[in-house]
Amino acid sequence: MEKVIVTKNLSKFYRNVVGERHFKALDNFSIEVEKGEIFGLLGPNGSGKTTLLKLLLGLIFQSGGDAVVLGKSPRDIGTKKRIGYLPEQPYFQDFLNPVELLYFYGSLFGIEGGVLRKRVYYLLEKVNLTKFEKMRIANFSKGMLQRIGLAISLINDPDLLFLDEPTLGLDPIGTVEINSLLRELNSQGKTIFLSSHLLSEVQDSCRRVAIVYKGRLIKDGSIDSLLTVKDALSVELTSKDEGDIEKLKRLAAECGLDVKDISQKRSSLKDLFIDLINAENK
Amino acid sequence: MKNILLIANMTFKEVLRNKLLNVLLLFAIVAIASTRFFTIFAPSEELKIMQDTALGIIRFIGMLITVFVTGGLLPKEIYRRTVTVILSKPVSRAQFLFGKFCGALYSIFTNIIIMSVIFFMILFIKFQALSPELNVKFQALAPELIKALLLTQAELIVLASITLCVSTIASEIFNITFGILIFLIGHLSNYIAYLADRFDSLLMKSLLLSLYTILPNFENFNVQNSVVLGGKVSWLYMAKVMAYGGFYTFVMLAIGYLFFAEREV
Repeated sequence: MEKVIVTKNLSKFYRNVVGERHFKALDNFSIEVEKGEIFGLLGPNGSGKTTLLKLLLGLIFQSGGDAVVLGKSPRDIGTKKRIGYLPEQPYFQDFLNPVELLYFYGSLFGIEGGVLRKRVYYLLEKVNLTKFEKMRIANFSKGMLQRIGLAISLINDPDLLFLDEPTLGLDPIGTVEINSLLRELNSQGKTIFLSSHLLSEVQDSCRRVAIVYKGRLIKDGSIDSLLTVKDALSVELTSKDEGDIEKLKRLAAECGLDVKDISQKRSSLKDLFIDLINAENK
Repeated sequence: MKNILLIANMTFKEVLRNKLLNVLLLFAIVAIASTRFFTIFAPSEELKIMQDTALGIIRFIGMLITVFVTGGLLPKEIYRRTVTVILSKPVSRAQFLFGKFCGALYSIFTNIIIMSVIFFMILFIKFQALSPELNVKFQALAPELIKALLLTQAELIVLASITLCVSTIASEIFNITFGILIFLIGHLSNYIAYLADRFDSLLMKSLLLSLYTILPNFENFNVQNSVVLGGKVSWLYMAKVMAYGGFYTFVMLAIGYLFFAEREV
């Protein structure tokens, strides 16, 4: 499988005024991301996720180790033509409207004329901003900024997409829409590198994850391999009677199984919220 | 090249919305328009005072606009993090920096042109008011005034390059203060050479001469007194000063690029 991101012992130190290394933002970080996967970078705030993203985008420079993106240096202009980037809490030229903004960023890739126009309106529709095409960015809500940021990151139809907390500021409906869009992009063969501190988001979207803490990689692997509990089963049954729980417990005991818990299945608050809003919109 | 123009256009649009710069321009227009009323202090020297005052206003307000525009360009982009989005696109740091510089120059040119047009209109009206026969004199004076304004423009380009160079590593407030100081010292650089002559100490002499060499000599761009007193500015002198300004600008942009290429954003 083709590797689109490879880091080997990648390190980033920040020095104090006398030149001493006083803060390790990233320490000997080695990962490989394969073409066509959604890779999640998970870690608490300040753990080094944004530092890694900035290193992979050539915005800051490593103190040690090596990083290769799409087979080249992250600073290579050819590499940048093939990537998209959504920063955390994006801020754009707020005196423009979304159409002007997308035209500007599209032009930086050399996209012109009818192709650019088609792409701009296609993306506005994809991120649900078509009805706000004339509104100035200064009047956008946090969620709308996130959506236009995503559209900008997709303007060049990138092979590799870097997303830094893409659902930050979005309501649950917006989060579901963005996650659904990410899956759609992934089904088109795009590689997505998702950085987030939201556990459920990473679990829902990613096939593989790396967990970073205090600048160090503490665990990586596929979601299945990391989350499967080897000595326990999860069973879901259709039940119309509360007495079924007792029946099941007896059945399990007869089979010699050690039952830890059998209870009525509960929906999550997120699922309930989304179902209610969707029902209102019908 | 196309990316430089795109960034320059975006910078120009952004600067046009800067309220402080609009206020400065408005102030300059009012000040230039009011020069015709200053003449009551010296009725026989009306035209000279008008020219002298207006050229001085254009240079001073032009300087303020230049340092406020260029001093804030990069720090604002870095603070708002718009720079990270642009530099993650296929835009080199050289293209970004030069695009920003060109955008700043568009806005400085636009402001100088607006102030100059107002100045010429007021001066023409004054000439007409004094005597229609003075039209010939106005026609002879106009090219020299245009040369003086071109040199002012060239001076502001040099100042913009210095301020932008410093802004690759410093904060907005520092850049603006530094830009204003360089403008003032640059107009006093002949005094630095004079002082160097007066010192006996070799150390002081070398230090002052080094300063004189490194700092821009903005007095080279100042032909205001000569033009107002009826003097002519030769094209050879213009070419020499422009070449000096071009070289200084190139060096400043090159140093600025070296800093910005290694700057983490």
